Amino acid sequence: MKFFKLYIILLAAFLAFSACKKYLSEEPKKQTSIQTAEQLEALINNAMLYAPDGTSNGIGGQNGSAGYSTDDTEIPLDAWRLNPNGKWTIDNIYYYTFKTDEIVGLSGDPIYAGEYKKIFTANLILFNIDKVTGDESLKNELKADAHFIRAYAYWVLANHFCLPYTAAKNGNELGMTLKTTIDYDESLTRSTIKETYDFILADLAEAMKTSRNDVDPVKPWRVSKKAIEAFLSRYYLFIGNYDESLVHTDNALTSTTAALVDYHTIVAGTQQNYTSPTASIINSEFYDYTAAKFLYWKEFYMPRFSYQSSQWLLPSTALRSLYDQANDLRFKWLMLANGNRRFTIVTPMLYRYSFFSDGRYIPTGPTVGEMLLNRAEVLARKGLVQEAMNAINILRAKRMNTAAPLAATDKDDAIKKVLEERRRELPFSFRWYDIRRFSVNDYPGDDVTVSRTFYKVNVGAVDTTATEVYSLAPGSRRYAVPINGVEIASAKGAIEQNKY
Amino acid sequence: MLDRRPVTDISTALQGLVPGLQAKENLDGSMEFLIRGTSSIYASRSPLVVVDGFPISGSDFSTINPNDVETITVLKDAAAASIWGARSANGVIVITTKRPRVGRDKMTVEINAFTKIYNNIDLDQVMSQANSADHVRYERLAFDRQLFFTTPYSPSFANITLPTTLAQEFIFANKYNGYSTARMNASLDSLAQINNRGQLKDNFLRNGIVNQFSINLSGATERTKTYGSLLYESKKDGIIKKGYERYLMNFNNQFQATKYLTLVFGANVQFKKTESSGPDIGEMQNLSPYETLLNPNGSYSVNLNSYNREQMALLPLDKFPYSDWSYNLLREVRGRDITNEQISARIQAGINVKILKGVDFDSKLQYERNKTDFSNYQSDETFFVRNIANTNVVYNNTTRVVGTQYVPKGGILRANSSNLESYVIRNQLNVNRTVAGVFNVNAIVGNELSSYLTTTQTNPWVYGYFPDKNQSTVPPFGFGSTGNTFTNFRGTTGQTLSGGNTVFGWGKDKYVSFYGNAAITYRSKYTLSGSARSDASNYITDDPKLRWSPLWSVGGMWRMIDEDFMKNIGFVDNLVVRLTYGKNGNAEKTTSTKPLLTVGTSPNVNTGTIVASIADNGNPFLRWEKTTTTNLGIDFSMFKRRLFGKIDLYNKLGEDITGNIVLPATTGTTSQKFNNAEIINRGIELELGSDFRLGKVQWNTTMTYAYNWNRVNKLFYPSYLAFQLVDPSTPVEGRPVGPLYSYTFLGVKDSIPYVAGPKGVPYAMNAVQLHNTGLGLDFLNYEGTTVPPHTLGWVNNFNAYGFNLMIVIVGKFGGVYRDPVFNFPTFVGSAKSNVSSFVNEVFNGNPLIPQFPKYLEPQFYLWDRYTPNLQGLVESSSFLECKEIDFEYNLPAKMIRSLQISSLRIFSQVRDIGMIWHANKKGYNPEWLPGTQRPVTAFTFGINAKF
Repeated sequence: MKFFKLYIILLAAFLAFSACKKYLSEEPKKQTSIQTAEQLEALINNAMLYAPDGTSNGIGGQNGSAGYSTDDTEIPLDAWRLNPNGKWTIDNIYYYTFKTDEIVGLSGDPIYAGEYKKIFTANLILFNIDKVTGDESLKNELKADAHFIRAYAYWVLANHFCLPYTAAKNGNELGMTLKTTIDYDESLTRSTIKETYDFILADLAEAMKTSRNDVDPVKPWRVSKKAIEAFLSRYYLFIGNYDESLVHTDNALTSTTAALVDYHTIVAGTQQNYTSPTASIINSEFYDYTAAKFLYWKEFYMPRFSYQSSQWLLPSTALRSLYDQANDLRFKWLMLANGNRRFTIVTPMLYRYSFFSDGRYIPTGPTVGEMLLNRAEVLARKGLVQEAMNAINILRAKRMNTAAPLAATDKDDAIKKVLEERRRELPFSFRWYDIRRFSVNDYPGDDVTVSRTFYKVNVGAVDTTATEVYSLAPGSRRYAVPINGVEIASAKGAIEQNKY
Repeated sequence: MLDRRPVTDISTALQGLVPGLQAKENLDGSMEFLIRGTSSIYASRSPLVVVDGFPISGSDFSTINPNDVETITVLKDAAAASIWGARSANGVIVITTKRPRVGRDKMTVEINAFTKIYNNIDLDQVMSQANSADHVRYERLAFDRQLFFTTPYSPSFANITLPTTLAQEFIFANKYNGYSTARMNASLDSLAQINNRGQLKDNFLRNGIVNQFSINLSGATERTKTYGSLLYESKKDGIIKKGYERYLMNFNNQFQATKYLTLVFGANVQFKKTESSGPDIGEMQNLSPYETLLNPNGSYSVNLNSYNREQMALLPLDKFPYSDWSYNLLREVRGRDITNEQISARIQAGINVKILKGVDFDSKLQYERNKTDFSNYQSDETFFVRNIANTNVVYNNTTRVVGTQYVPKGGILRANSSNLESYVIRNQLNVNRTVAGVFNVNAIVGNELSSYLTTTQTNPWVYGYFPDKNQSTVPPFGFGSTGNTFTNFRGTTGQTLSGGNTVFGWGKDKYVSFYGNAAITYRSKYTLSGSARSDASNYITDDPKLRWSPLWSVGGMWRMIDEDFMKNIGFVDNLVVRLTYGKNGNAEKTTSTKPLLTVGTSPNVNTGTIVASIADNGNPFLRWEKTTTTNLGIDFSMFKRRLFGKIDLYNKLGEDITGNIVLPATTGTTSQKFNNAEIINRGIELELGSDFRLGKVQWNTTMTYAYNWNRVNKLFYPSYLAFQLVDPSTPVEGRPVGPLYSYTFLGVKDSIPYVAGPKGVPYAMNAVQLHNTGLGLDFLNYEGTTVPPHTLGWVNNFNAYGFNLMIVIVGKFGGVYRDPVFNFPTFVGSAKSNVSSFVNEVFNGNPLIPQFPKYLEPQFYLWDRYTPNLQGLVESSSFLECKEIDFEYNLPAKMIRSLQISSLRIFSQVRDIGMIWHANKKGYNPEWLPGTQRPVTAFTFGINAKF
């Protein structure tokens, strides 16, 4: 009897031991470990993780190059001198004056960290997609989404931290570190630019396997064949392959979802009134847009934004003079007169460029407008003057208050007119990328030297007693933004800094 | 000694009594313990608490009736702790509650009651805000020198959300609205005369009071032992509308059914209602020192909050849902009712079967339920409610027309609840036999299964709520959603109303353990013991094998006193040598071997879908944190307890400790937790006591002293950037946990302060590069540890003629801390800015810290990266404090016999008396720096009677 009891106890203990593997497999939280395709879809649907550049990791920074390193931006000397606290952070000034060491010394690089976080997320999805349960067609869509997110992120990185790419000349210059897994021990060594661009193309080919043909109006952040076509149009234009670019442009333009928005339909948003002296800022409706609105901007093939946390973009005199100021609705709604008052600067009067959400989000994703401009540019470069003008006049019809079709006399004039239109349509977003590619394409006539006079900039301070001329000329190795010092240090030598 | 200390929380009574038990006091007097130094960086550091054989969730002592506690044992070494399993690396506190003793075949009743009265809270200690004169003086200086980080206010509707302060209103009025400089100066001067602390004290503070009444009954017969207790306790905090009331019932019964079978049943039920409607210190601190609560005529005075008054006055307020959009803290507090009600029940049942002689089997079950209901009601007297109603309207500032109102008028009720359900099942076989007459074998083997389920539910907000009428109104346009968003009064689109969704939380922890231990004693002189245990929890891992912890220990004990050769040494009463060695485990549960997600519980407002984000990038090196402890101890007593004590030496080596590693962002994250650190703790613990008796006069004293040396080893950090290093929570290889580093201040040159960078080169505080990217070890000064390594407790007890006086003194030595310092406020001109009292050090020209920035200095906002971390602010945190004095009188037995009372004791206590000695120059209590709410001196009077 007594031994029988003992036996029961031992048996119970044994059974408990074998059952506990199952007992312990219930996870401590719901939906925490990756089990289903639905979870990965939720990750893809977190659109604001991918839409803006430069907001990641709590650095809360912004796209300094797009906002401050081009000739779209001008900080007048007296504006700084009279208002040294006028919300230009010293970080922005480093970008404005094309600094290298000082940018290396910043606390972090939001673009770099942000895009690599997107790449990690894409890699996480690709790593898990074949392991999770779920519908095969959903899995295929998610795979395409992940490949596109990764391709786009590498393109953004390459256009900041690598020199502008031409296959013929500099394919062996430093590219990006190509992370393709979620492993910490994957090599951090930088690839060549050619390898980086080939990688992007391979990812886009994978993304092209999506079954979604056109942009989903309910979830415009999900990849579609049309969105990839639009991005390929840009990809090929940037590496000077105009024939390929044109093919993809025209494919993209067959979208029935993405469409031009007629700027005549844009209405005023919240108006800001100031006293002593009195002034008003007449904002467009874009001022009041939150992500619930701007993610669905009708012109997008894919919502992507340049993030400007300072909200303080000052259009240069040269940029402003390109507009027919009385007739161009883009000037009316986006170039805000008295923009200085938004930052409590009374004198001098300054314009401020403001797109979505009080100027925080500047569209950079492929749009119908960009497609028309890409088409026009390729045609102009091929010498098809009238076709080029036709393409931009479609765009202008939706942008100008009264119709003002452009005409060009010859190929050079057409290229000039198309690029001016491009600058009017895409300031503070594409200018940085465009200046870089102009410097390496086969047409020296479009080269841009950004040059400005500003005060002497020391580490952490601006010396208003002396001025200097800062310029960024074609061929400059500063076209590649330096990689942040924390990154170089924490990689313990595995990541090579750009050479200057 | 425990029962001489009237407490509301049993942890309080342990302070100063146990060497190696570092106590950090909470505001309510309860303690957070750290046993033998820090053995983990990210996992829980608090010891495991075991009550009557069951670990209780958290380390929460609050559900234990302090009057029920019979003994408390603190287990520190591996052997003692390893049988309790996971988390035992942090030590174990074992509590046993009172049981009736057999043989006393009658009922005993004990009644204990006390009242504790607290001194008033000292607002000058609690609030670190400058006085009005300094406040105004700094605000003027900031304006004169234009020390603005963010864009200051300028008159515009868009700037309605820049509230500023009363003083700054005058300055802006002078700047924009033609308010003359002379009038501004006069107004500012009069503000500088106002001190709101008198009003704060009159309206918000009171003497805190605790009343505790406890009765317990116990009785025993041959076959049953029964114990029951009931406790009632109420507390009024030192701040109005804060406090609690609780009832705690405990019942325990042991029934010997047959010779072989014993049944045990216990139940513990607590009901607690807490109110927290009173003002927080933070809320009081948000008032400028010149902002009063009431005007001389008794009406509510203006407290600025959220909005700029100049702009608000321009609104057609009569068209808004509430024409009064003002804020006043007193009105806020009066208009709200924030409570929570907690019911917790713990039921224990057990069966013990004697199988053979000296062999028995124990099976125990504990079931615990905990339910807390939170309720936060704000009437429309509160700014909170009126602001929500007024904000969520369509408003056109050009036509000045108020359109759709999204929020119905009336109060708002927010309610949520949390539940805990847990069970623990334990089966254990006990062996206690004497073999061959000289060997005593004592062994147990068992297993344990437990599950802790916590669920939370946050209910949708109830709008338009009138509790007196029992009415509520659903918002007429719903709460808003993607595709149906609202516009607020400022024109911002994409808005929704708060509280539209029910939010659920769910978490379940499960554990399985197998354990056994055995001890063999030879002739009651030599004991050899060993234990082994393996725990597993349900944390997420690729490899289920990683779940199991390997815990084991071996030990030996030698009762030297029983040796023949000791017989000649007559002055020694007791001498025992102990030696143990073993491994304990600790689990850090926030990471997993693979990346984890956080998936939303309701559709995202931007996308209209469920969205997810990455919660953790994955820790492929995840495993149990293992701590190996060696302990050598000697217990002794000499000269008939004129000198007795314990000496313990230990060495604790923690391996596979989770550390946070800085990674290149290329990997997808800039930092990640990995199990790769090592922590060594070494120390000595001393307990020395003495008993003297001279007739009816008795003095006993016990002094406990502990020294803990610890060091973090093998922590892979590629670089210690200065900003990480100045944060004491950053572990540094080769330094103790909690290292403190400082900048060398090089003084001010041309109004710009400098610190020393690498090789002593001066770096301006105007740039953040040194702080953010400098390799700190090259130029920061190591000052010491923030965790004091030496701790001292000293209890003196005098007893004579029924009177007993006990004095408890505690001290901590060898640590460092930073004096708080003035941090140049960056939001002057654009927000309700606060100026701290330490501004007077800058006014007084303290040479150890930066002076005020020059006119238009744009970079001053970066100074706060450096200023708090300057060398001159580091001071020794050593102190000696008289913690409490207890005085009691036991009435002589013959006096009370006629009352049928077996003992009657009246007692009193003074607690938190003050520091006897401190090393720092400023007279601070380093554990309670200015700006923290610390325990205040309390006086207790009570009575205890046994029948």
